[in-house]
Amino acid sequence: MNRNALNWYQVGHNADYLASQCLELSAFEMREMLSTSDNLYGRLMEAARWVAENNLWEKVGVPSAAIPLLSYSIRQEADLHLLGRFDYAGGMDGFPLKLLEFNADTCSLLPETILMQPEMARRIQGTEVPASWQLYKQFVRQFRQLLEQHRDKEPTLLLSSLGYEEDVLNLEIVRKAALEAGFQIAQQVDLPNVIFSADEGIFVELRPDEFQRYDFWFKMVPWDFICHEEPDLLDLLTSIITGGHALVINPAFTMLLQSKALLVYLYENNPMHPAVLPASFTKAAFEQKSAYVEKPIIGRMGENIAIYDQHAQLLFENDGDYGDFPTIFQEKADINFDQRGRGYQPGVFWVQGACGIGIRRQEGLLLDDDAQFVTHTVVDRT
Amino acid sequence: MNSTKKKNYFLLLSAGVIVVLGISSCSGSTEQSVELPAQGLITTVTEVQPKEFKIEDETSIPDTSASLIIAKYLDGKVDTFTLAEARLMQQQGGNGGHSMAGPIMTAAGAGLLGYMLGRSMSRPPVPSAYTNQQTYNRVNQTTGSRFNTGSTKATRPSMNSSRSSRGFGGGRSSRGFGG
Repeated sequence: MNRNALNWYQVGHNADYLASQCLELSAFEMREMLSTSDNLYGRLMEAARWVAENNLWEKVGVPSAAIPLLSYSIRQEADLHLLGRFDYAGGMDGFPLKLLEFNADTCSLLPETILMQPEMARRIQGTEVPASWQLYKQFVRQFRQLLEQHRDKEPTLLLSSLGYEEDVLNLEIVRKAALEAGFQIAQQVDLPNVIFSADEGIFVELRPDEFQRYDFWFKMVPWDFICHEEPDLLDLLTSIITGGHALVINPAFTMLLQSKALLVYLYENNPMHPAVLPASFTKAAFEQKSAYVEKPIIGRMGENIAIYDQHAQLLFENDGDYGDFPTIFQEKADINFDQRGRGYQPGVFWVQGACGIGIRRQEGLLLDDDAQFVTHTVVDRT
Repeated sequence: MNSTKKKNYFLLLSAGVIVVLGISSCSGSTEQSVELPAQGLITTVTEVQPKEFKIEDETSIPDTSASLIIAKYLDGKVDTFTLAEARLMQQQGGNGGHSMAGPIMTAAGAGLLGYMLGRSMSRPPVPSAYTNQQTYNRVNQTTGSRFNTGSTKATRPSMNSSRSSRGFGGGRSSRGFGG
């Protein structure tokens, strides 16, 4: 990958982003993170299907206009879910591993995990990171499988974001994996330059009156953004997808998996699961019992979070772009802190199976855009 | 490989003359399609006699829009043309702009590039277009085999305004969406 592109992670306000230390995970801790994630994916899918069967769309933040597409997607598109990242609390030094959320639709940290982490590990400790390369290989494997499963589709892939550099760099990893898997065309074009035709599919006008059609579209544009901000695009994509004119990755049902409201149904359906935090639509479930966190059902980057102690006293809150969405309440988890008061959040990548770990840390009670990426290595410890 | 010769046909390009793959439009059209190779191509032609070119090499690349013609002249100079420039030269028929356009396009178009300029995929390149039989055999068995099996449809959307659109996400915040 272009070294100049990766410099984006190390200059300006990103200068401290890559931690200069290396975290050691035990092999047991790594296996727990991966196997727990595989298990939770199945549980989350069960919860998502339950929501669909019981028409709880509004509770999870799905507007009525999106119901036909979501209904179709959860039934038909399981094989198109190519990338997600589970974010956890704990999981190290005896702290129980607890799921905070599942970034099922659009997730980042690919360049850090696949490219920078092995390089940092070599520089800091002279060791290899076992799982990083597996993540990329799994991408290639799944893209190859998609081509096998959809032989009626041309091997043409369009990748789109709104052009924010971090999103572009993440998509570049995906693009290269697709080419390696056998896609004959794989191009990044920003969303405003993409043409959506309800009855014909997804196109880009490469030159005046010269069009390229793509049978696969990988988007770094969240479904919640499309549903709430671009209803006309939602309408076109519903026709394109249900009409079989193109395949969209990640598929629409990942909006369900990414909704924090699904964590409530996950807990209600799995109350004894060791990695599932109690979650509720009301704070009464926690008052006088435990500290809890209030978070919007649609949100990212740690925005619009409020943290309370067990007496409902506010400990922390921040603002953001997601303040208008309904909220859920989740038990506050035990986070691994170091001596400098930095809390650690392991992230486990899922590419049709758990593979690859990327860990972040930050001082304070939660992670936001200022978090650092911390390289890890895996050691056998008795 | 940049040429020392001046590319004066850029003036014609800037006037907006772009060849469209030989497709004729019809009023009220909905969909028109043409079979095209799924890969791009770098064609190298070499001047073997004054104003006579033969294909020296053809290499496939993933991106069709990055296709190039590299022309090597008897005097040692080298020119490079993009696919758009090649189409323009094809339309112009060597008239106006570049004195070597006709011979270069005749040679390059007789090879795999011809598919990208509208020749049917059922009409393969001819051996006499190449510098020698060995070159033809080598290209035909490598690059040529991928071109013959990897075609894709390039379809022009009808742009029926009520059922197609673009420009989504424009003017939005530049924040990333990666969670």
